[in-house]
Amino acid sequence: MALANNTGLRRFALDLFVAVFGIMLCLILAFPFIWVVLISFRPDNEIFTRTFQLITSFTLDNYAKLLDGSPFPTYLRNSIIVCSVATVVAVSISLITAYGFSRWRTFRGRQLLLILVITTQLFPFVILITPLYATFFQLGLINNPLALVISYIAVNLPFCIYMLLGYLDTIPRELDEAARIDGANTLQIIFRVILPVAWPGVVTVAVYAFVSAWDEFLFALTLMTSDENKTVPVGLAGFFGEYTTQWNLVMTASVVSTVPTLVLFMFLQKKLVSDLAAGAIKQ
Amino acid sequence: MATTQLSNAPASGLVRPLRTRLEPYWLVLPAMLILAFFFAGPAIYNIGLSFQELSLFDIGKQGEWVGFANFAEVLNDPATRQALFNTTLPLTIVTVVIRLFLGLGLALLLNASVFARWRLGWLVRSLILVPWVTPPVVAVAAWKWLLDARYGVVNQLLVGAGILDQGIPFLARTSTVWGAIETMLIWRELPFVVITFLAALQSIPTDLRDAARIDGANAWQIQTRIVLPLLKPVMAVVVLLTTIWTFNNFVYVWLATRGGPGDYTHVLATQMYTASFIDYRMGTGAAVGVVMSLIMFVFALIYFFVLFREK
Amino acid sequence: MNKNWTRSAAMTLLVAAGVYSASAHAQETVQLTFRQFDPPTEIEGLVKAIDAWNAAHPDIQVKLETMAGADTLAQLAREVPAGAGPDIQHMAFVWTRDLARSGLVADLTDHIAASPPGAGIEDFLATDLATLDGKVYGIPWTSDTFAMAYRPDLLDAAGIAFPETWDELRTAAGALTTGDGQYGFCFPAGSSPDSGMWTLANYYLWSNGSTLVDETLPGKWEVVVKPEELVAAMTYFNDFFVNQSSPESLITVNSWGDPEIMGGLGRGDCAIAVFPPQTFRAAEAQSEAALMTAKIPQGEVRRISHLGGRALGINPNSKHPEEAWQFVQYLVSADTFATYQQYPAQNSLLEELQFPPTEQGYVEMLPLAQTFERYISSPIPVSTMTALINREFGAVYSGQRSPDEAAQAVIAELQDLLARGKS
Repeated sequence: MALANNTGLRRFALDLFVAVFGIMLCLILAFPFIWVVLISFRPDNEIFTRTFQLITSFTLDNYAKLLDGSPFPTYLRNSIIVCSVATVVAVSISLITAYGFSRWRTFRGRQLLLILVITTQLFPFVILITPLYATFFQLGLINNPLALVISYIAVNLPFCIYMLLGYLDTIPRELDEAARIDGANTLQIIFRVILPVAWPGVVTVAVYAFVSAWDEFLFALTLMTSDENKTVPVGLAGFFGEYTTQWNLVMTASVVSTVPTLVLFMFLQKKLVSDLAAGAIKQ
Repeated sequence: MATTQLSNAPASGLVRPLRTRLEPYWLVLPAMLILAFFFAGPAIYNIGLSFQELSLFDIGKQGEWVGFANFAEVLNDPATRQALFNTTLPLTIVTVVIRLFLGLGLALLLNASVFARWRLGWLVRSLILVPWVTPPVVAVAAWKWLLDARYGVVNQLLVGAGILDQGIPFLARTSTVWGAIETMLIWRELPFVVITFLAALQSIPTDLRDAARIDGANAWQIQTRIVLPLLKPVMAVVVLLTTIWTFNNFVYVWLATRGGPGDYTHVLATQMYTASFIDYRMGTGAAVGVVMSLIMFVFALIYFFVLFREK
Repeated sequence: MNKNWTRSAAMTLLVAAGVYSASAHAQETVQLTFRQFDPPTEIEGLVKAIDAWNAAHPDIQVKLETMAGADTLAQLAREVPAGAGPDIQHMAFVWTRDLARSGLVADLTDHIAASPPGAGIEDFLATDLATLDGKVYGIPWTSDTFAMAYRPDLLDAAGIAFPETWDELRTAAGALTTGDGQYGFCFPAGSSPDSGMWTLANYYLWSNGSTLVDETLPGKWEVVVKPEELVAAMTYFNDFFVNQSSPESLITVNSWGDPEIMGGLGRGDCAIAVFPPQTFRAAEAQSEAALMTAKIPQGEVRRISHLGGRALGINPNSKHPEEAWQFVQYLVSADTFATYQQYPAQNSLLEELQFPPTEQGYVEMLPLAQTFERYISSPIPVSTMTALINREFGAVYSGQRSPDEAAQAVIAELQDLLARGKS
């Protein structure tokens, strides 16, 4: 009894240490952003203080200025729509593609195609954007959010394919076989059998695709020139002038624009946790 | 087992129905078409541009064909060698290696069962994501202020603790500027590595570990002999992609120092940008871009050869 | 979630319907796009002026577009050849000729002849920068020059009158540095291709009778700056760091509006700075004590600053050049400047303008200001020259190169660039 108690205590102490240590590390990592949040509540002239102060005067003016009477809420809405659609499509197409590459390992051209996919990552966007502008202009898609959706799908595909390939390779093929014997076709296998099992990887890939689209600046700037179609990063860049920059508004805008991604991730995680639990019960 | 047999036994290919043989092509076709539409034309355009002399203001027109003159100019410029070194070592190798180790360590720590048992998983996984969802321009600005010699928290704490007499302007000195840029880059890009590894760790069945534990393996052996080998496919992809992205990365150096002080932190990507958009010489910029692409292409090929051939 | 999607789908339909009905009226209403690149906080007055125009001209509606400054040029170069782009474009003075040479802005000569802007084109400042081969491609709109900005209370406390010459500035900066966080002189010393250092370096060179490149004979361009002149300029500004009368952290600061400088003046961490008018006003708004402006220090030969500003151009693709011209005329009129708080680029309007007493420095510098015309006419892009100067000054400040080495590097590269010519 005493021995068991002792082991229990030691285990609790270890748990506590790991939990506290982990949370501390995460807080330290998050600190620069926490600092951004604090700045967003400061007036412009108090961004800098000579001594260390977490909180100077507190103001909601920056939020009022940003959310009321500025086009920023429109940018936010545009970003959410464009990035969500692009993410869902990119991840779905990638899952199908990665499944093809993962389950058929010897088809002719497989290696070449895989190398070609990675080749798309080699060219710097600043130079690609000029011919892309011309292409989208010819398609009549300048100032049309569809152009951004297409761009973000294309930009994210290579990463998503590769990453999902890495995850799918670790999933045993017996799963597919069982479903195929039950008469499921390939698409059904991918979305009904593989997707739930690969969910942690799919969430990671989706978050990646969303964040990279969310931060993307050059395509958004070049392809969407009118105010009502702009996205958050372009709106953010608008606060930087040649002679003055409103840093507190920049900080506020970035806090506001960070929230949707965090919420999305928490939402997906809930699903993640419950799915894993369900899987555990089945086993 | 049928799929495995199909793919592993080429002899049976003769009797396979055509539809099944074509199936992988159908599966990968949509993605390939999108990628071809989006990247093929522009990439060819970029290569073409690198053989022309063309001003930024004339990019709607055809430039003058100059053969390899742009490449000769770029490769003979001592600034390019310096930038190549900066891109390879302090920007790419240092940060990729640190990210890999830190990311792996953090992922293993956050995968500890205590976070699941105490229902703290959502908290740590959300906190870890915070740097990554901070827009780069804001991340770099915040870090520049944190590292400021007089107003920055880092220096205020170091001076307050008596470690320094006076704050250090980290970005103004050649001795500290790379460390500062690397800190910013690693800070913002680390979460990607952590959550990627975390997802891979979470898909490792727990019974594998339990079985090893019953066989008498200790915690270290479990991590190194069971968990790490299973992480290998994901790790291989992460290293490949972060290397390419970092090598081509422009924003961190540009936002933090613009290549300064002097030309101390110029990398190939900032050289390319400067050539194209400051000097208005699109051909030279494209040549730098092609050189960068070639270096990474060779890297990717070697990487494939070494890592994926054994399968 | 579902509801939101339905709602946004419905919204998309509504927007589509709106666009459709708007295009049905397109025959009577002309839609113009005006693209500018200043941040929203600097254009509140401009937005008012455009609203007033739209209210008074139901048949010519103008839509304002904002694009961040650094990307505007590349975007125009992409758009105009494709047949797109805004009808009216806001340009920095120094861009006009480059854009004109490549056909990215329209020739305005006929418009000017048919219906002259303001009090006639002769009334405008810096038209030389907007002219190429005798044709005018841009209408100078706003003008600015730089002046010194300072904290009178800190100068009084130290018993110092505002320095008249560069040497006096160096001495004064030393006396105004207290060692408890107050520095004498703050300036953007960063190495960025767009760093403010370029401006100061030229003020110093010009006022001491030097310039980087010049057309020594018609059509023959030469590097005229002497190594010792560059060394003197580099040493002069580096001395502020050596003497610690400027904080070392400014070696990474590129922008006039950086909180380190703009806020530094307000906090009393800097006693003297240099600002364009927009930055000065923003600094005043957040300063804890009164600020004043003064003349740029004098060199051995003269006192000088540069005349910068913005011009307006019309897109050669515009389907409504006549209406665009009418709008340009409105923008340069006194009506616009009634709400848009900028210095007009027209002599007659400048004379009428009442400057606040704190902005006297600008009033005194405007007549002494000189445009970058000489550099713009040279075969080297001004942005390339700017990047070179900033980089080499930064190399001196950070100890990578001695002033001698850096000066040699500048001259050698300028000679290379001249030899290569403007492509």
